[in-house]
Amino acid sequence: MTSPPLDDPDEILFRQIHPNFYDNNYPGSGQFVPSPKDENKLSVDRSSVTTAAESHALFTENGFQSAAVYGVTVGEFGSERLPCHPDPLKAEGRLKANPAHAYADYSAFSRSQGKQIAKRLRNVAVKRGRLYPPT
Amino acid sequence: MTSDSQCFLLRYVGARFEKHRLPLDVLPDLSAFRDLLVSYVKSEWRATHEGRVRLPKGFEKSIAFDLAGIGDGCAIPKLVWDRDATQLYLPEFKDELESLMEASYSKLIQLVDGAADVVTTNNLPPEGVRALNRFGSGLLDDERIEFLGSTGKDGNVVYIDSYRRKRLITRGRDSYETRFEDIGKLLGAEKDADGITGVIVVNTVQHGTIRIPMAPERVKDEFGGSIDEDVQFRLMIELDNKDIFKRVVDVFDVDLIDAALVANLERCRARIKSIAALGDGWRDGDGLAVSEKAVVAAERLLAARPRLAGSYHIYPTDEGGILFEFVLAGWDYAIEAKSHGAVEIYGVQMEGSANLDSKEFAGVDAEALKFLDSLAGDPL
Repeated sequence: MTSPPLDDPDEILFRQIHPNFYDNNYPGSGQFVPSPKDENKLSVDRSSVTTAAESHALFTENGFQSAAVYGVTVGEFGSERLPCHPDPLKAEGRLKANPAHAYADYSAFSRSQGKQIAKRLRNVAVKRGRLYPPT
Repeated sequence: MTSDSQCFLLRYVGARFEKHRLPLDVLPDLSAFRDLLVSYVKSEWRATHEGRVRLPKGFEKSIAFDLAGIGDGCAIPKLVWDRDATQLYLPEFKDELESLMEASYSKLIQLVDGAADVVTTNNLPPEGVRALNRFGSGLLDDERIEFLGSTGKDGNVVYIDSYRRKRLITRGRDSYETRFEDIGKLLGAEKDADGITGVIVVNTVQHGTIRIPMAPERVKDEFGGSIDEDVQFRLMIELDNKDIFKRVVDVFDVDLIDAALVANLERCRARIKSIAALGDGWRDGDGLAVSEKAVVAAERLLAARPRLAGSYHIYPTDEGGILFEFVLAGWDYAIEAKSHGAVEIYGVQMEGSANLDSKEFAGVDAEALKFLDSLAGDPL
């Protein structure tokens, strides 16, 4: 069952940037659209539950790669008609629990539309600046 | 040939020829077309005058064409047979020449229309093959010349393009000439001991190492101290019937690219190289390895519009492609070289909500580049 959408438009949602999506300290828009296996859900971490540094630490401790953390607010996702839902993850196998986990729901859009939305979200995230490591 | 029997309309089709523009590079086509036609006229004359080996005096000069104008739409040069020249040089054969001209043009059209037929020999006379090697040699991929007023076996206007040229020329010989524009790395700059001839050696993506002849003074003054730097060139080259490079036939332009541009190109090339090396699962277990076709398309894009290199951010895609992103004139654009070699272009406005909807092209071809150029309003 889907949880009610996040309702604080100012809450920043952290997005990890894979090193291959980071060229010359600039994140690719491909990191702001769900990959084909993500079932239209873009994973993020909530700033009301964790910090950018903690989010990065947990992500890499769980065996994933991240070169940087950028942020998009719930309101900015909303202006693209993307509802965001809390989705805390329990520990599973070698993966540690992530109570801050949430996702932005892209299911109302085609892949092609999603790529354009991703560009706009990447641009607002870049405007906000890199959240981790600190600049 | 049109109904007045004196006029030939060649319609150039392709992005370069829109708004009835005819690049100077293709002007040699017009004299090559005349020579091609004349080679047939000569054959026809010999066939109808058995036993006569020599042509009448003034035969060659009597067949002169004038460029009478460029038609609307795509570029349509109008070639008019100068009947006064025939009257002047060969008055007694004027009527015969007219019928020979018609028959020759008809045979020429048949030849081009049958370019795709499976035959191993050409009925073109040797001088016709030489003329055909010049006619259309400046055509790029996706460009063609239509013979207006003709009708092929399929009911459509007959045309010649790079593929048909190659088919026709290599029936009679093992090589053909074609245009080659690219950027390569300068490997050497040499001049002979006699100081009369010079050459630069350039490594290219498409044809490997090629030797470009030029004046020895230029080799020394411009290229001598620039080994490993990038060179942009436009050439006419000879390829064999398997598209293996044989030699440089003609040199239109060769220039070193400025240092800042080279640095940007180097950075992009290194980035593409590192992306090309990613294996399956590069994204924490997901992400397909980038395909060779995507890499070729990315390199072609880089070479085709080098001035954009300073704006590019380049990334792999989950589907095995390569994504170029850049900001230009208030828009954030993406050019995605897909795993099967096609190219998709889309974008969003930076300070606004407008979108440039996705447009897909077969590859980094003239159409894609024209579209890319149109984004800035001017050629990039």
